[in-house]
Amino acid sequence: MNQFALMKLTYPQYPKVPTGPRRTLLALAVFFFLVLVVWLLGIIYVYFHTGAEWGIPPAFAGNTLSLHTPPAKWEQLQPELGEAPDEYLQSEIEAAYLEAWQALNYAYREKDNAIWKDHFAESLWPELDSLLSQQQAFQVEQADLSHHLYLYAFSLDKQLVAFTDKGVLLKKKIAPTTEGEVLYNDLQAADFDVVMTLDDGRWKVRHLRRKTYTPQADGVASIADSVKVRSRQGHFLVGHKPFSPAGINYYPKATPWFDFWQQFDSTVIRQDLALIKELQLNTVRTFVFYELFGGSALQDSMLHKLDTFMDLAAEHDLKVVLTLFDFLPGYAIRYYGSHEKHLRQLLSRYRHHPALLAWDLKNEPDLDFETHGRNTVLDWLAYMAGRARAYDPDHPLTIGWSAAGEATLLKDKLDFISFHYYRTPDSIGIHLSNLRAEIPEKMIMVSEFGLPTYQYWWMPGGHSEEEQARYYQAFLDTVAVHPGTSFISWTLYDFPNLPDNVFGGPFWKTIPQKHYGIIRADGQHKPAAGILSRWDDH
Amino acid sequence: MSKRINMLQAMLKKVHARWLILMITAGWIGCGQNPTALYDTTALSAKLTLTDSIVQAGQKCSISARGAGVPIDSNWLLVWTGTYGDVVFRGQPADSLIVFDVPVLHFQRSGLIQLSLTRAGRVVDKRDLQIVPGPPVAVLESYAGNKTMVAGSRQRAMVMAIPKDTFENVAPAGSSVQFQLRYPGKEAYLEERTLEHLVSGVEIPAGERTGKIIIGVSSERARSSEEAVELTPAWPTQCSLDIDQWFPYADSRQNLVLRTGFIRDAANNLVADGTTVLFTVYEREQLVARYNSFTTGGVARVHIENPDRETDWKIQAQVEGQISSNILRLHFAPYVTELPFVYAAKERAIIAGPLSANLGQLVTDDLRVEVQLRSPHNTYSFSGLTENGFCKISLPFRLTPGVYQCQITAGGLVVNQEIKLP
Repeated sequence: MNQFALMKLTYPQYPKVPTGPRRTLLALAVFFFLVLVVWLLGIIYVYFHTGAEWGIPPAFAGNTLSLHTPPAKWEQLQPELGEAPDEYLQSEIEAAYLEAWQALNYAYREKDNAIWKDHFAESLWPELDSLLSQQQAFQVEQADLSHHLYLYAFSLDKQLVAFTDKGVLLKKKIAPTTEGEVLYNDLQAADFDVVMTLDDGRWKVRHLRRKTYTPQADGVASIADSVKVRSRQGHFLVGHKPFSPAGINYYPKATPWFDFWQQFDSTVIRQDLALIKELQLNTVRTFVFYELFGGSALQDSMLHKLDTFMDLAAEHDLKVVLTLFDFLPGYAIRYYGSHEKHLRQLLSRYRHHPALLAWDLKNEPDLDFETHGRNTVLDWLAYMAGRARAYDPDHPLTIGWSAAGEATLLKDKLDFISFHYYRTPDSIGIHLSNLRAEIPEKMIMVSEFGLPTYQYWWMPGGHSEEEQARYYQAFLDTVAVHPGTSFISWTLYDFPNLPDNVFGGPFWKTIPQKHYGIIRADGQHKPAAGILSRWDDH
Repeated sequence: MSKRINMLQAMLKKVHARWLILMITAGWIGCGQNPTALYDTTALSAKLTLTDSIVQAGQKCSISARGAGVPIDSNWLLVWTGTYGDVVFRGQPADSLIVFDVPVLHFQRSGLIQLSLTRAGRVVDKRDLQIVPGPPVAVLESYAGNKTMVAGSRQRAMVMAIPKDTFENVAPAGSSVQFQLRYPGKEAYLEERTLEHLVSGVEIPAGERTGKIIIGVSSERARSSEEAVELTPAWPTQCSLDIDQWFPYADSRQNLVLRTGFIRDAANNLVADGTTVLFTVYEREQLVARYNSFTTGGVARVHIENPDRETDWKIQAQVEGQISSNILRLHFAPYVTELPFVYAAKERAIIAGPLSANLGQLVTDDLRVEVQLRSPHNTYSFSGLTENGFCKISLPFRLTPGVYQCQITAGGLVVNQEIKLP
């Protein structure tokens, strides 16, 4: 007698247990039900354990028109007709005009014609609506990037203004609304004659006419020769003296990444920079986080901290490679204006500083190729590199690629080539030779390299401190036989803690990040520190 | 031959050989395909062709592309970049050309058009097309301001004009714009200006005479609506004060009517209606009253009630706190000439009357009579109004019997007399 028959005898009130195919179906139904329950529980778990990502989501950034306006300047304020407006009116008119451009950009991107009613006179609405309707099959993304305003007329009753906007640069990308390749991607240049009138208390564009482009100078003042840094034939010249960078990436031991700026401690930094100097190094590389520093409007509080850092570096006779735009939320065209404002403010402020060695435009942008699109990222880099050159022609510019294989990208726009290297030292020589063959005239800098030291029985793949020392030895030996090559190692300290908003993911990825330092968390030097300090012996 | 076939068969039996043959075949087929548009470098030699590089608004020109060896298909795009944005047109093959049919609507908006020939996302050629606006027609945009100026002042107004063509494009730079201006009481005159940077304009100085400056603007066949700027009087520079009507007795009933002379500005313009004039009244160097009035036709008037007792007034007018008139000095004599009164014990009242006025007539009704009774210890005050020349003032029973000094005042006349209350 089987167990089911026994059950039936003992509990006759229970229904008959299915057998055969029906039992199989029942089992499958139960299985899938359990899968569904587990899946739902997983969703709930992930929902409550997912924090906000760092940076403003692009959808929000587009809602504030003035947030992404580009740099603009009144080049001429004495009109031929009427009287010059006072400062308040100048800024009002300028702001209204730039917002009109943002409204146009937004309307084309979002296919929303409601926004331009506050920025354009009613007589223009039919034309703008017609243009928008003709763009229905296309996705147009555009950003205005430069405005130089020349006032022609300002009426005596302060109701009408006419000016010419020269040297306007428009970055445009057109793609089909449905899936498809980009149809058009170009940087346009033109001048515009503009008439604006005061309607219902708002300055609105009443007439606009496109005309031939007039190039405009950026008007960058010269700086003292002693602080200029040039890159020549694989070497740097600081003033007129040759300089070979030998450096380290720097965060304080207890406050890496965002905490470095948010819990800025000049006493700790002073001690650390003195330590770096004792290690016979001459360069530090550090990071300016785009959002943390205020985006397009840099915060004074953050700038003062960066001032202090640069001053401390100068005090210790150390040069600084400033890496920009770290943790950048996006590369879309509509952000170009605000990114350029950020770039201009930083470069204008620090190009005079004696501690500045070079600008690293972006840290590991190749890692963003997959998320943001390779061409989109490269377009952004090409544009920003051009602007960086214009805002500071007196310091070398590079891009810190994550891999040697990408290091030749945009090489013609850069003064020196840099990449990061975390593989075995055996192949670094091959990469350096290949790069040198392709780029014979520019310095090559390995701006991050290193080996983590950890040894946990439950986590294979770690390295001892001796292995790290041998790694550094081999690396420095290789660099020494490749002229025109410099280095910045990763990093000074082991970090007891890592910020969650920088390193998410499984522990086997985050644990090594704590142990790249050449100095332990307790302050004791690892053998690699001694190797590095003798870099000049090679 | 058969030996070779056997060898071939033996080789094909080996799996790796089959895969090798398959890969080679696939590669051959792949290499044999026509290159994709993205990598077709011959496409880079295509050039845009325009029948005209400068056209007037509303006139089309033909746009095509050609080039040696370029593929003639519909994968070519023309990006038309105008003043406000971009439109994309797909090319159509036509014989050895790629033709772009751009609707005439796009040729109506003037300005510099950038034409970009693209293929597979790459810009192959660029050309500029200048669309020139037509001559000015229809209604000309005009803006006049400030709308009001003070006559004879250094103020200036301005008229800005924007002539447009049939398609609402601003007229070509260099277009002539005529401003005709007519000041009050003067002949019209012409100011000619040139259109630059989308606008033209003329400054209008303030004239001497009040009134309207009428302005008309034209440019070829375009006309503006009439514009006007008002010239208002300037600050007053002269003001006099005269009497219109005066009853020189303190009857507190008749009105003193004063009037300013014509108040004018430095250019002899009457001040604007509604100009405030302040009349101040002093009585024995004490300010007793202020009256605001407003001008009509350059003159302000004020009506002031006569005082109730004999007094001297000094009156002056001031225009908007700026200028003052001459001072009028007026004496008001007592209105009542006789003021008899008795104490009527039966009625316990003081009966004053008959009160006579300056012409021997009875005083008018409702003239105020005031009585003051003074004893060594107290002073009591009472009042009443006249009727038919008499005034009866009842005394309250709380008054203690005794002798009182009685003073009666009416119409500026004061009489004292002793009375005895039983």
